[in-house]
Order: sequence, then C-alpha cells, then structure tokens
Amino acid sequence: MPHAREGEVDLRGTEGLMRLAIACLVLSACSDRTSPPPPKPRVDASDLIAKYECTRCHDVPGVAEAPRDKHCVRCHQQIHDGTFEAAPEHLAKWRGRITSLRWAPALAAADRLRRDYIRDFLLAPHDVRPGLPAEMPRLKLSPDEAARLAAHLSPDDDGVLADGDITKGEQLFRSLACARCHRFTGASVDDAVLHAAGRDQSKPAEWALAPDLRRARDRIRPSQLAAWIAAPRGAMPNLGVPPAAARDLAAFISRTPLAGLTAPPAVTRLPLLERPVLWAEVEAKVFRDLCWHCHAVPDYARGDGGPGNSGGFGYAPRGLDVSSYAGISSGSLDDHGEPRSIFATLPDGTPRVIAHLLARHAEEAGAFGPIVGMPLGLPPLPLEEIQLVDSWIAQGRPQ
Amino acid sequence: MLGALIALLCVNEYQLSYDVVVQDLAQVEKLIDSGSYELARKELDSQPSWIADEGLRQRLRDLGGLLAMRAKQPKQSVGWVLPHFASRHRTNKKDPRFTAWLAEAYLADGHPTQALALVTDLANKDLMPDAFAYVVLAKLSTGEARESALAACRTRAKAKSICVVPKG
Repeated sequence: MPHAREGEVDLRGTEGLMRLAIACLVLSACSDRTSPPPPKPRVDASDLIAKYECTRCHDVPGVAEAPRDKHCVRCHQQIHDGTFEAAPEHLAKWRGRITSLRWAPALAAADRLRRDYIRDFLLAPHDVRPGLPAEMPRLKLSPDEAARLAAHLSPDDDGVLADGDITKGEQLFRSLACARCHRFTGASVDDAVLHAAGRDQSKPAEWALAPDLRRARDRIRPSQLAAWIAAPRGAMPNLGVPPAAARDLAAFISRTPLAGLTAPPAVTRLPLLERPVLWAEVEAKVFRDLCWHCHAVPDYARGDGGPGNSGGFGYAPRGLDVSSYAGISSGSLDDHGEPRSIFATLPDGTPRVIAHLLARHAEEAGAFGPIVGMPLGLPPLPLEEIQLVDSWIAQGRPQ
Repeated sequence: MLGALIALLCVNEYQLSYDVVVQDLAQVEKLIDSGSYELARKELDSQPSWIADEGLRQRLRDLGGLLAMRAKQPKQSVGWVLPHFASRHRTNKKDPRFTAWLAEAYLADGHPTQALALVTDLANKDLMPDAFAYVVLAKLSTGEARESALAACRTRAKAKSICVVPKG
C-alpha cells in the first residue's frame, strides 16, 4: 500500500479520521480568520480631486463629472457615437481625425491597485495602456498629496497572492488569447502582432483600456489579481474564468520571468532645416493640429481658452494662445504671472517651447525634469515636428 | 444659430464651422493682417450691431479700432480708439496684444513718447505680437533701430506692404 506523499494527509484508519476532524476544525478557524475584513473607510481627498480636476477625464465615484466644455473625452465620445449636435458631414470628418482621448479609465476600479504604486504613478506617470494614445498627465502634486490621493483611491493595501500554477496560467493566457488586448512586454507570451490585430475588434474601448501586464505585479494588490480576473469590473470583459483558473493566471502574470527593457535612445534636437519654414506650415502641422486644444483663445472658443490658457489640472493660468500668430507671439505667463516669450532661450540655448516639447520625450523615458513636457498627457511630438518649430524660430518666426 | 448656444472648448473647430460670427471675425482678422483694409471694412460693417457674447462683442470693437488706425481714416473719426484700447489694456495688462494696440492708438492720437515706451518694452522682452507693432517701433525709431524694426516687420508680416514707413 503506497504511503502518502510528502505534504499529503493520510486519511486512512481511525487516526486518519481524527486528523481529518482536527484539520477541519483548524481550517474552519483559519477560514474565520482569513475572511475579508470590512473595507476601510476612504481617506478624504475631495479637495485634491477638485484641485487637480480629476473629473476632467475620469469618472470619480461620488463626484459630479466636469461640464462638457471642460471634459477631455466626452465630446470625442459623442462625436464617435453620433450624439454630438453637428451635421453628419462634420461628424464624419471629425471622426476620421479623433484618435486620442476617446476613453479614460474610471477610478471606481482603482481600489484594486497598490497604494504605493498609485502614489509613485501620480508623481511620475508612465504609459500603462499601450492602446490608449493619451496617458495620465503629469501634475504638480506634492509627495504628500500623491500619498493622500492614493490612500483615497485604494483604501486597502494588504493581502497576498493566492497560490496558483504558473504553467497552467501560461496555457490559459494563450488559450484565452489575452495578448489580443494586453501587451505583456518582456514576457514570453507577449505578441505585438496579435495585439495590433486586436485593435480591429468590435469593442475598441476594451482593447484601448487594456494595460500592459508587465507592471501588473507591482500595480495590482496581490489579493486582488485573481479576484479581478474572475470577476472584472469596468472595461475588462468577464471571460468566465473559474476561481482556480484565475489563480493560475494570476500566478503566471505575477511570477513569469520578464526580460529587461532596452533603454530608449537619448533624444536630441534634429539639425535645423535649411529650407524656409513659414508660420502657415508650423501652424497647420503642429500648433493648430494639437496644441490649441488646450492653449486657445477664450473669445473664440466661448469657453475658458483651455487649461493651458486659463489654468487647469492644478496648474496656474499661463495665458498661452497658440491659435494665431499674434497669440503665440504674445507669450505665456511665468510663475509670477508676468508675460514672457515662449521663444526665449534657456541657459542651454534651447528656446523654451522647444524645451517643453523635448521634455515630453524625456518623460516617456522616465526622466522628470523641472520643465513640464508638452503635450501634457499625450505622446511626444515626432522629432521632425519639433525640428520644424525649431527651424521656424531660428529663421525669425516668419509668416 | 446653433453655435452661439453651445460653449465648446475641445472642439474649437466646431466654432469655426458653425458660428457665423466667429467665422466672420476670423475673416476680418485675416484681411487686416494681409492689409486688405477695404474688404475688411466691408466685412466688419456687415456684422450685426449687437452680439450676445461679450468676448466676441469686444473683439468686434477691437477690430473696428485696428481698422480705423491702419486704414488711415480721418483723425476725427478715430477719437474713440485711444480710450477704447486704453480701457482694454487696463483689463488685459498681461496680454502683449493689448499693449501693442494701445501703443498703436497712442501713436495715431499723437502721443509718440507713450507709444515708444510700450513697444520698446515689448521688443526687449521678445513679446511683439505681430508686424504691426514693429511698424510702430520703426516709425518712432531712427537709424539702425529703425532698419532693424523694419526688417523684423518684413519677416513677420503676412503682407510685406505694411512695412513701408516714410522716413520721418
């Protein structure tokens, strides 16, 4: 008769029955001790949510959303779903152009995240969702403010990862085709081609909001990962994964080895163009294409000119209007509220506006200097477009 | 007018596509920038006398003032321009456009010293909003400073013809 293997309980005979009874009692007691405690009350951060205008982009539980003229995604969503009040030909034209800011993650599900991760992310945002062009904008939060917001968003920060089988988890990852929505950079299962193909699926929000799972082990509370897979909220679809399988998948996501990432090459300014560059070209390709969404003229926009003009996201008003030649030539307001040229050179010889555009590249590489990168919360401008602006400035900003 | 009813920041193009007043004012600005003052005047005169939006109403009056100064209208018909731009400057002190327009109004009204002080300060801070500010500076400068202002005007002007300044 074979003996019980190491770690298994031999339940044969009277002694075995007694041991079983004891084990049941112990398990029952343990079960009582490990049943989830009631959720902790949230730390109040309503002042910070108001100050940094989180509702401009996010749905925040218990807080009214920003009005449409200040909301960063609502107009775009309405244009895409056809509920925006405009002629069909205009809607069709705009739909073709609008790729950014169509969705933003709801903050109701942030309670699955590690509190220290949220704090660090708020202080130095990185790209979490490769399918979403926009990213969390860099805010001028103090470490204390970031910690309080994190404690508000994720009141509980405990728990351990449930045990699971990594090998089974990997098989599940492949059979469920998780890579169709999720990148998992550095993992053996990462599949950029399959991910790119997933863009065409019928539920674009699910694809766009799917995070790169590389950071999941640092990002998600260990006790929540399996539970999230089994019963997700928000954009993540419920795939009907049973709890045991969810534990396997969670173990795989959390423990599979990850290859190191190669550091992006250092960004340098491209040489100035020798051909003439006029305002019309710079305006069309750069400032009127993107920047004026936040740096506009209040009179014409009938609003507040955007957060880059009249202030927003916790930033003071900068008074910058790039929607016209006279507007951009009139500069912005400095930290003391005094006008300054955005073309003035910094000590290293870089025009201020160029420094902001290059800083966005550095932020993407994880370097957060004193100059806030622009465009805020959006991918950096291609270096060729920065070169265009740089050349125009060097040529005396001709019209 | 649908556009006048809806305030939208994120779709600025919406205003340019739908709001007739915004479209017309933008057209007047383009015409003034390119020195086509007669066409600009016609366009401006066709605007309704009352516009609900305060920002647009002020902007309309700004354009009337600029046109009055730049189209060399008789002095008696531009008497309102200096008080208008002085008032606008008081409430928009940090916007170099209003500073430059006030300087232009000072010059048109025969106050060169005040005009020169304003545009010199803007030029020193690299905050000249457009070529017209350089025209003011050129008119009030001599020698190398005048030539330098004219050169900057020619670079930044949409219509180089505005940079012709009689030697004073």
